[in-house]
Amino acid sequence: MPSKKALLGAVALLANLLIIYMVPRFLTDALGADNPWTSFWFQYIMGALVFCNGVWLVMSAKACVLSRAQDRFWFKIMIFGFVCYFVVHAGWIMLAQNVAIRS
Amino acid sequence: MAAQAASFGVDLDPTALTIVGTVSVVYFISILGFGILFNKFSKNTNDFFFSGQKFPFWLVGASMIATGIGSYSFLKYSQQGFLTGMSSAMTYTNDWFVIPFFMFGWLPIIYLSRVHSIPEYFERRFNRAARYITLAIIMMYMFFYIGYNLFTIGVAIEGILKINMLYALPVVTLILGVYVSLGGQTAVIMTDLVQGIILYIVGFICLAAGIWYVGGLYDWWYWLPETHRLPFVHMTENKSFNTVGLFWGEAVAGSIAFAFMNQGFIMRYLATRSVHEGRKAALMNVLISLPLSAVVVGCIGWIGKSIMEKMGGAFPGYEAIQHNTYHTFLIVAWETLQQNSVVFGLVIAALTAALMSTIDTLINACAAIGVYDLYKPLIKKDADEKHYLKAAHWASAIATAIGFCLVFVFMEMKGSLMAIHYKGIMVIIPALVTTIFLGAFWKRMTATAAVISMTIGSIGTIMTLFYPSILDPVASFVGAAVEEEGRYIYVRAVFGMSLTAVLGFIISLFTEPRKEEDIEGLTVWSLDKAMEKFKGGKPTYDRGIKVKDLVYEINDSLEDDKIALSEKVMKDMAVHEGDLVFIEDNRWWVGGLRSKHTKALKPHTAGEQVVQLNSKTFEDAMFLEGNKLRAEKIF
Repeated sequence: MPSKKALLGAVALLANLLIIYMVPRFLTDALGADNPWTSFWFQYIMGALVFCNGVWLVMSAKACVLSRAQDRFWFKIMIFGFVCYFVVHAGWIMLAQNVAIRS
Repeated sequence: MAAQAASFGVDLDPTALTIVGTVSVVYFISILGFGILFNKFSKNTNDFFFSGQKFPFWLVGASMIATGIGSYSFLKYSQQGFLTGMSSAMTYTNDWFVIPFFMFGWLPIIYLSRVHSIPEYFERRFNRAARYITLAIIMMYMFFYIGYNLFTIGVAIEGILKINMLYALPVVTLILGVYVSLGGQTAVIMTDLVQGIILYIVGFICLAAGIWYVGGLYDWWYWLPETHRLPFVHMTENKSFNTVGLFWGEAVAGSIAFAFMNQGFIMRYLATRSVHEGRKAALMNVLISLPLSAVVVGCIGWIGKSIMEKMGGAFPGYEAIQHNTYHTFLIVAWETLQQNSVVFGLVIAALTAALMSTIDTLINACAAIGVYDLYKPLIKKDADEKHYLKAAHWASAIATAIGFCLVFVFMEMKGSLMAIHYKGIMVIIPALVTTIFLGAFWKRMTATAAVISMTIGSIGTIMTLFYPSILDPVASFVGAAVEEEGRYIYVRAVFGMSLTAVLGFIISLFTEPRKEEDIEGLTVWSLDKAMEKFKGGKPTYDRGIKVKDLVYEINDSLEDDKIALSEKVMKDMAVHEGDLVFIEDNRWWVGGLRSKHTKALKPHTAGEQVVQLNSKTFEDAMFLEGNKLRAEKIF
């Protein structure tokens, strides 16, 4: 009988594979392959998948313990960095599509 | 390719050529002299390669700027920026996703386990066979980068001097070999700091001149086609540069490779004074320096595209760029700088700086691996430090020579500079990247699994070069375009990583893992133990402040590498007896050059701001008489 941890790992792996398979297809169908937001959402959904796997792993391994001040500080920085890139890239696409368009 | 490149590029008259050459030579000699100043800080191989783990984040982070920007960066990203626009910045702005693995996983593991190289980590984590397979792959990776840097500087020389790179590169290689052997890691970090500043200054001069040339910021943006304004490329359209491929090949495999297995960068992180400072350096690098560098290296291409759209054939470099985009950087910079030889000389100096600063790190890293993983364990085990230093110089020279030989391979390759780069990297890195990852984050991974999966993973990835149709199902699964002619670049990395991971996983389940106590501190699951081993006692996690303006007092009754502080200072710093304390010269800008890791003793009663240490500790730290000191708790 596999352990609870092994089962959880297998489910997580399958969920990851499913997301990897579904996301590009879903985005291309929903937004269109030529839409710049398709690339944006692809990068950030897949990126979030990698990022969240990382956070989950370091937290489970107790490599990041939020009760320690220094770990808490770096945890916040990690989230800030992700949001920061997300906002800058989104703003950049809006700028490209809406400012000083050549007729 | 060489012959084709030699007939284009920029046309400099003899006077301009003399000025450009003079500026570049003066720059080179100045940097060489500056590097030599730091020779005295390399007393042994530990100093030569790792600078004694003493630098603050800003120095290491700033020196990474120049290391990250190679001579290839200006040429490659300007060309890519011209061809696909601002999406050329994608490879510099997609590294954040692997940050949790690095900041809380890999960085503390390598720092606290005091490994000198990735192969050494593999021996400690797995076995000797794993070490030497890793060594072979890492050396290929490093040699690839040395060769690619030399190749691109050859392209630049052809574009400016019209000299075939086969004649120019032996001279450049010889000069570089001498330059690197002189310094060591301290000289590398210090010269890279200066060169990073020069690179940014020159990059922003080019940016400003280009925007002025095209008619201002508004005009530049207005004339830039919408596809060229976007931060991302099409999901799959461009075979050699597309979002799906870049995500898997660059954001995942490439970022892990750069952060986890690039010995040059690893050595930078190991040169920081603590894991905390290493994290700060990583933050500075990924969140600030990389986006800025993306602008610096790509902007000439973005400006070139805008100018071409606005002026068309009226732009003097129009025909040359149309014919050979390799020289986009040189042609656009020369024209937008109004053919000013002095400023263009500075641009060429920056290109040289980029080459030198990347190659010195790579060669120093190759030498570290050569000495620690080959020479010391296999050839001469018990020699003195002088002997190993000499061996390090020889290893540097050999690494440079091998890199030069690879230039011939690059000259035969076709496609953009970006495509040539990734075609090579995507074959070399997948198996090792995956094994490092599994080794560090999965404690069940066994030595047998590591050896077999790395070997078969590498061979399997190479096989896809001959049988590319193997990649079709992988490409289809991850949503990349299935290539009819099998011209895959990035999907090769996905295949190599998947093959290695599956093999590693299955074989681990059927083989015996090492005992947990044998791999303590070598996986993310036992970092507390790693801290304990590093410190030689239980770590303490309460945080205090850094204390400045300490007055030293020599007390030879104290043991080496130990200090005594007053009770008040210990309380302010949250330091307990036995804690690790970093003590350094009071002047921040000395950057840790005069410093030492010590252990705190029981508090003294000699005075609140007094720090007591013995003469040997004082000398080892290279403190200057009469200067004040400052101290901070490590853990």
